[in-house]
Amino acid sequence: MAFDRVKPPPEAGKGPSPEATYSREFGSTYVPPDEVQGYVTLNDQEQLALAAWADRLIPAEAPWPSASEVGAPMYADNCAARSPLLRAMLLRALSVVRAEAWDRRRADFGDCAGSEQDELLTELESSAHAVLFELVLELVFEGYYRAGQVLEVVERQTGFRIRGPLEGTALEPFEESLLERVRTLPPAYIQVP
Amino acid sequence: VTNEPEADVLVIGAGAAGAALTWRLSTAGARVLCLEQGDWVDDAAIPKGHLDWEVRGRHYWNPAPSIRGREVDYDVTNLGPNPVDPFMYCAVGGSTVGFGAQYWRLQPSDFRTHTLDGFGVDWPITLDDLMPYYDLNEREVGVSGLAGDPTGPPREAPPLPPNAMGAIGRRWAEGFERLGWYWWPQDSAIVSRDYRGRPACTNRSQCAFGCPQHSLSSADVTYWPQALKAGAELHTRARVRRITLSADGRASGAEYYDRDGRLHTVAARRVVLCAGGIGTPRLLLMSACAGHADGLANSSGQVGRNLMVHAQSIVAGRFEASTESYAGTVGAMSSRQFYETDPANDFVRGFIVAGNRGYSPLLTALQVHTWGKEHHALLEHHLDHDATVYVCGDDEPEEHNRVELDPDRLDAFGLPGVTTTYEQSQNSRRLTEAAIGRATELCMAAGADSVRDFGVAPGFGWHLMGTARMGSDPATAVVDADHEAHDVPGLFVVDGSSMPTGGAVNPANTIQALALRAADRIWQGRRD
Repeated sequence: MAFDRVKPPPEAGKGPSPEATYSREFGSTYVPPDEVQGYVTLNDQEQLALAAWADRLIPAEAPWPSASEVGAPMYADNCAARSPLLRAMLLRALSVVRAEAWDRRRADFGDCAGSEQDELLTELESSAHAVLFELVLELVFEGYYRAGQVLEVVERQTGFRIRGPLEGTALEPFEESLLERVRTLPPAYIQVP
Repeated sequence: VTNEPEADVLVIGAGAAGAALTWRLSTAGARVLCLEQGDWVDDAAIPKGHLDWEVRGRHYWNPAPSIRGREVDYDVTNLGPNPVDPFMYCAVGGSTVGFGAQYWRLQPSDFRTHTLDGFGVDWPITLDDLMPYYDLNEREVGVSGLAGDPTGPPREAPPLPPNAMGAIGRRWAEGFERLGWYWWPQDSAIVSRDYRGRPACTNRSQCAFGCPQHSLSSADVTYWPQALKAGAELHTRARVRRITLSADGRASGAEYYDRDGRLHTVAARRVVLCAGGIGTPRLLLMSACAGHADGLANSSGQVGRNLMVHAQSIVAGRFEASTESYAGTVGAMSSRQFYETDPANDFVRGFIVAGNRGYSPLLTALQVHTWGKEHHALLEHHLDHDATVYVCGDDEPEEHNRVELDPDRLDAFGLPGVTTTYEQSQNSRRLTEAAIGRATELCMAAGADSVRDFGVAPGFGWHLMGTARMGSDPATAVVDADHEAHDVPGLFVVDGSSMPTGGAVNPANTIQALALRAADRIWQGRRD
């Protein structure tokens, strides 16, 4: 199915923190592509930090563009702007990594070396703030994999026909001769009274 | 407060069951009114009509009501050691608007699991009772498939040939052949040829994101147009708050809020609940009243109990060659090799092994969940090279797995949400472990170079059953063999909640066959 996921949503106990179930906000946070015209929530420093973060998640590697090159951070900002909770979480996520970068390097997160940024993000991913990392990853991945420029590369690099789900694809029909052996097998079900 | 004209039958819920039942009754001459909490799906909103369909599908089209969070939804919070993530839409067509359309029939043994295996309870009906209704449903819906599968009883041929196979379908077939297992092309409620005004499937894939061309046989495009033509009345955005009773204790209608929150009452000679495995017990519990303090039709204490979700998992195989995961119906080739109880196992009952298609770009990225310099390489490794094997097994009905009202989370008009609580049984756990093993065998036999799986309790809430079950004994069942409540004459429950056990297959075909049969029993049994 199309919505398979590796782990269930974090709802194992009634009354988890709202942040732990941030996906509950997703129904009201869809942003049409043509409505992303600029940043809504983040100031200049925060934009730089998020762009740096996004590019550590999905870096440029020809022919793949980086996350910031296709506007994924701006998408994350616009999406978060539609929910008070997501907006607050995004700001807190940036605050956490920027504060940590300052404590360690006396530099903003965006000005740290790539390896230092990776180290900070790796620690964040398994820290008490992991849910903030998850949110940023999810939104950046969404912004990246809906960008037309990325989808063209997806098709070139993987063979996944991007317009297949929109336009359809001719496929080999079922070939009944494949069932030759199975048709000779005895019935295999239990008759009951 | 306004009053509606009387109906012969009031149907609550316009999903798979409500649609089939309304069609059958209205074509028989009954005056049927259906109340649906949701609305018609707007074709323009179907994700797969847009290039960003994956993102749309994760937001406003999300199958989890607590995530989708539209005004017409009620909240579902999922608790217990193995919380379930329900897949349910409030809409005309219900959850079929984005279903996988794998269209199975139950087996004879599924109706006698207690007698055969001491598992769950026996049904008060048999497969023979349902066979003509499976035939009828498959004709009306437009099922694509092939008769002759030796793992099932003889049956009428589906009206349409199997859906296209594609490269991965052939690979699964070859894998099954190498293993020497029984297998068969998957029956699907997806039209493989033009059928009754709907165009043949063009293999747009990813059916859960909706089908803009309506080749997917969702109930809004199959039964509803015909039911309305036959005179049925459908009120959308009609949120039922309780079922009403007459002085003599019969079901007499319902009270509901319209889209503006205005209360209406509707009187009917019979009331049929078709609100799904979660919505139906919710409404019964919300309808508690004098004489029914624990919820309507609940003298057995079984309303909301025995929630079954099937023992499910997925194994994703990775193949060197393309899996064409951008094309094809969800299901390709399936096997009931392990369907029946095998005394050599450490569990009873069995499972199917279904060779399906692959995943999409964003979903692959999120599943592989790798960031940094390995991200692109891993995406290239998996995307269009993965294909999935779905396993689905019998899940025993257990009272502690349940649906309850949640007064802490109210819907837009102050009605309660629900909680689900679910703990997977040891039998289901062992069965799923075995099923994952078999699915892995299939992947490798089909040429996969590696596999990954979703574990024994992934929480898939795609099949919601058992929460107002049928049975002959009023002490242990909510409704009788004709779906009429033991406690409340004139009240019927017809949907996944009325299934006493779930078999080991996707339930949509069975739910609709039950609905068609129930319609006949209701109409033939009328005394007015």
